[in-house]
Amino acid sequence: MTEQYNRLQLSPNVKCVFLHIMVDKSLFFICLGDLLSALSGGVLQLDSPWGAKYVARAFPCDVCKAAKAGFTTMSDDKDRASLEELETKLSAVAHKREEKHSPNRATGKPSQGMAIGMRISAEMIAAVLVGLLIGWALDRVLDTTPWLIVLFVFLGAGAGGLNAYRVAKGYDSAVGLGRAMRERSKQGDED
Amino acid sequence: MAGPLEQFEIKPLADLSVGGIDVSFTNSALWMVIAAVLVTCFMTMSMRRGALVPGRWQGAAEVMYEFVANMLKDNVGSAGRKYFPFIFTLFMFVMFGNLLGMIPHSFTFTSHIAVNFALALVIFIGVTVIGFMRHGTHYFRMFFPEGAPIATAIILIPIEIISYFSRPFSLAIRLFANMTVGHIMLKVIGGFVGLIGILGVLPFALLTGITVLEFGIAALQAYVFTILTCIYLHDAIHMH
Repeated sequence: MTEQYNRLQLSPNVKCVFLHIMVDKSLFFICLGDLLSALSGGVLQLDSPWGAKYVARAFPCDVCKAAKAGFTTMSDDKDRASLEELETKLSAVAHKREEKHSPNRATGKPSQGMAIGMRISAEMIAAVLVGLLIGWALDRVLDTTPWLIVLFVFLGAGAGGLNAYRVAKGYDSAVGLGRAMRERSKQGDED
Repeated sequence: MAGPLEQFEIKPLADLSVGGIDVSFTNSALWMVIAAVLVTCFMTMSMRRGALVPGRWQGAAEVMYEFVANMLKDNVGSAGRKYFPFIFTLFMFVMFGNLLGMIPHSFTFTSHIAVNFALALVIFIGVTVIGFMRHGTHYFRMFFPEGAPIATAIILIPIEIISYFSRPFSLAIRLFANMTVGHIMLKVIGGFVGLIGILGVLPFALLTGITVLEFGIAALQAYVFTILTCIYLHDAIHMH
């Protein structure tokens, strides 16, 4: 990647536009005119060969001149400060893009939140219902009315709470909050 | 003005009785047949040409196929591959049922717990059988969380058993509740439009929004129903 840029020759007739490119977290400057002739494409083509990680931006020509003097190193403090500012801005943009590309189940559309809500409520109702059913059936068989139905309703409520907890924690990796949280922490580890 | 619950009424279209059991062909059955026929037509007709560069219909069919295939791959892994036909059929059937219910004067068969519970029961029994076939008696470990103290077994095992048996219920109830609530809401708010004269514009605007939301829910609930099936399948195959 880097070599490819260095080989690009900077022509003297630089117009007002200069490109600032991030490759492997280091800054590179490339004249847009040179790039256009080299790639015979437009700014849009920049995105596809280098992926979404690399962000290209156009600059006015005084930055262009200053950068041309040192290519990648900028001795001027003012420029350095603005460069650092730019770098943070660029990484923010790159981060935003990555976020947009990765699916995020919990914080997406409101319908996703509704799906989780419906899931949790259904889970709790179903468990109590099953407890009720088992208790009723056992009571009929063992002739212990109403003791087992009371016991199993409580057990069902416990199971319902457990299931709701599992949904919220995302232990079954379904439409829950936990999966999204885990994916975010996984992303954090990779960074 | 028909009541908000009349739309869920089951009307026999052709009376039929086998051995004293009423098996009449009802409006619910009719719409299930329509859904099944439409799904079959959609898939076979759009894939008839099988072009390398898909046309509009083939593109739609391929999107459906890939959506379910990816869902299965992400949630079950490669072991779930052989269950794809069932999962795909389930998804298409439930989704078409939900969406067909959005046609005025149609019947939403997924708003009936009997239908959903039958589907859920098939899934539940199938998944349990797969679990026991793959793991034998070891599958009973499902009912005791790993790492919990033995003394808690007396409480945890009944809770886990109830939690396991609540699966088909929660599957069925969720779909039923979503579909029923949505359709009742549409009907009730629709009733206001004519009742309050010129102010009826307000509920009408609301109704428009809710209709869009209902289409979203129709697709979303089919997705949730299918993904939970995938997750139960994953549990049966891999045991957490």
